Amino acid sequence: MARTERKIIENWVILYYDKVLALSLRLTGNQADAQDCAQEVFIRAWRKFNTFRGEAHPMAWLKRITLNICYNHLNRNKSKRWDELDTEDLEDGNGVFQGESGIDPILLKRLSPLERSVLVARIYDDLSFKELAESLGTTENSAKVSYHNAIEKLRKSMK
Amino acid sequence: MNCNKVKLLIPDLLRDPEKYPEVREHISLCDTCRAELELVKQLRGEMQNAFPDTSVIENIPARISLIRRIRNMQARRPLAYALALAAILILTLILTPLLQSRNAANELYTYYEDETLEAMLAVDLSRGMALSEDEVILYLIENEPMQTLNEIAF
Repeated sequence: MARTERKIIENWVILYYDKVLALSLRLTGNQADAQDCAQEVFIRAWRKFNTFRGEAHPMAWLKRITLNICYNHLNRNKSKRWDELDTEDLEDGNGVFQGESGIDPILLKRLSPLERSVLVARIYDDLSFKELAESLGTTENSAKVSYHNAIEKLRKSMK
Repeated sequence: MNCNKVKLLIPDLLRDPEKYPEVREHISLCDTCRAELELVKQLRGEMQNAFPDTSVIENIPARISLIRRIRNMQARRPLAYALALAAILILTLILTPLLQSRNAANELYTYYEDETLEAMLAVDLSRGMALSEDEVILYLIENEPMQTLNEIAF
């Protein structure tokens, strides 16, 4: 059984690693953290395989795990998060918003972990507020308020 | 439908415009919500540009390292796997030489070289599904030098 589970997870690594990595990159903002988080996602999926009910698409389940892991990662690194922004990243566009549209990348990076997680997962990865709340260990209302705050901060940065 | 509800539904509208006629109607009449729609569209575009899809080739070493990590962790799971291993060993001793030979090949599955694993992953990726255990053994027999097979497995 454990061997079967492992084979399934290996299949998922082959099929979904890119998608998990891309979401991790959007959430964490840099390659190294995204790679660490993506690896952790599959490890956790394997450890918690018995909680996968098979009702949802595997990628939907992996998305929620990714969101949780990246959110925890952002919280753990809160103090150094945006202040130690890698200037090389800013220059080469690797993992940050360059913004021809006028969106200020520094401001975007100053979103709180919850605001950033909700914004990214909502507008890019199509998670519902209910899924977001469950993945982030918060309430639907809190997720909605964070989404609203994130949009407002970005709107102000563009004025 | 008020502006606050509409704004929260904009990402859903972008995903499936047909599903939200009331939201569309509201946006067609409301400048504030239309501006928010444009902002969200812009953000989606920005994210696409800032985080382009990573190439499959670049990710192969990461996948190999991840698969190895999972296998190593499985190998280190204490009591449950020790018991399972004991059961497998007993069965192996009892069953036929054919099965013994197959187990030797299965052992090899854990120890094959990175290059072989990389080649197998390339096959997996091209067809979107991992090789089965039998296919892995067949692949190894066909692609690994017999000397290496003997050194590692027998």
